[in-house]
Amino acid sequence: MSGMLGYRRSDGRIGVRNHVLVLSTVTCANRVVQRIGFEFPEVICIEQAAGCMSLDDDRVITHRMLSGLALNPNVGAVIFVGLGCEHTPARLLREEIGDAKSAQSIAIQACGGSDEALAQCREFVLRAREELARQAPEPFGPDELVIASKCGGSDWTSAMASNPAVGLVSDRSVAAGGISMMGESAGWFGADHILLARARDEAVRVKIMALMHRLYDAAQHRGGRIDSGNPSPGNIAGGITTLTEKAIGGIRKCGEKSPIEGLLAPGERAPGKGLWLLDNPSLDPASLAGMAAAGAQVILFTTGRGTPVGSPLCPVIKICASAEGVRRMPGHVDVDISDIVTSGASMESGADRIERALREVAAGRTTRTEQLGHREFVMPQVGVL
Amino acid sequence: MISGGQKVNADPAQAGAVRRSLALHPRDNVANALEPLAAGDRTSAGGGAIEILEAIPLGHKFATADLAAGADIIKYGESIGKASRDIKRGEHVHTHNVRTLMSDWKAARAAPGGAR
Repeated sequence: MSGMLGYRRSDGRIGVRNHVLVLSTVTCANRVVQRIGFEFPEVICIEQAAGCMSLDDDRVITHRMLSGLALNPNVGAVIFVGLGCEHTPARLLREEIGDAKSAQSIAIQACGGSDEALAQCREFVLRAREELARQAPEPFGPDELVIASKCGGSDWTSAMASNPAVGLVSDRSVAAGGISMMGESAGWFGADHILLARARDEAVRVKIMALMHRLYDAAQHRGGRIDSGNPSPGNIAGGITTLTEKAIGGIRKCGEKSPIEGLLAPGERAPGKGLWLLDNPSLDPASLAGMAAAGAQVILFTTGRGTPVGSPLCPVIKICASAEGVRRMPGHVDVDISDIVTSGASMESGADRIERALREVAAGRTTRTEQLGHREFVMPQVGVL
Repeated sequence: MISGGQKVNADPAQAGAVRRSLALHPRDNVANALEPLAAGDRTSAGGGAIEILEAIPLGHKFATADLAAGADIIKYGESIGKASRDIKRGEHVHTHNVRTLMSDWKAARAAPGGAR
């Protein structure tokens, strides 16, 4: 009935894409990864802005994120490319993958330089590509669907229409036995009391509040306030006045019915079904990266003002309820639900259209972000809000 | 969910036209303009006729009640900020006359009845 088709991995998970991933683990390895990207444009190549010389908190995040990205079910084969002297060796990351999927690691120092590393990497990519091309997709149901919801370039229509419509899809998805995730922790301020009221139990409430206090104090420690840069100038021009207003509108993406099962650190994967909160930055590519590392197959992304941003690993479905936004950036919108605002179409009809697009994309239809090659990536770090 | 703000007359050329707007919750004291509003326009969000006192850009908020400085700005039935000065019914409500609740976030969460 669902029509969704995926690629089964050895670890039992199912992906809606069959990517070969070439993952740099430290900036020093970026050039090799870049050159693979020039040779094989369809291969997913991710570079790093750091990966070494960080404090323990960022090192732990980087480690878990790199593992999480490689284990994303949309990845069919992964090669880690490192230098060799960094804190998180490529070899260790490869070991952690086990036999979940085809995997390899390369350390540039160990293989004698960039050209040698490139040759090994090329060999892996050619082999993996061939292997993945032979894999037939299989049907799967909504109980195996893992979605994440995101808002970016928000305006007044986000809270009024697109976020609640995505929230309905989230509720339906959870009711069908799937997993739904929502991130952007620094964007929950002012709506934190609503999230607490929906938490499964006291342990989850304590975890959420501890994170909120940590984020708030960190901003203050650095001489700012948690809403110093949020809402953005574009949000304000679009009618959003305060972070509280944005937050209450933002959390409508996680619906109204499902309890919050837990809060996951960057790179952590949901240990069970249901609705989960992700601690990740509000900066769109960093948030999308966190969702991919948490295991999302597809990301539902609402926007009012329009944004081109995508994800290297997940199809991102852009949903817009602003007639102006659709008119301004028509080539970036997958689902136009502006009639909810302009002519009173029901929220259910909006959710139906999003759900239809979700199923089609999970059956292989490409999104605008994929067609346009949007693969932005920022590693979540402690200082990135 | 979206209702109210009947469209009686949408001719943008006509001054003092009746225009569409929407309050999201019965307790709200602000509403969103569903079309750009000009001084003299009339609208009906949140019950009763409201005369718009100044230009309100598309999607921006206006007061549906007179608000004294320090009053909570209520949207979605929740406070989203405090009036930083007196705001008249029909006036634009935005960053120029609203202050954030975030300066007091910790105190509000620590207070009895506040979220833990």
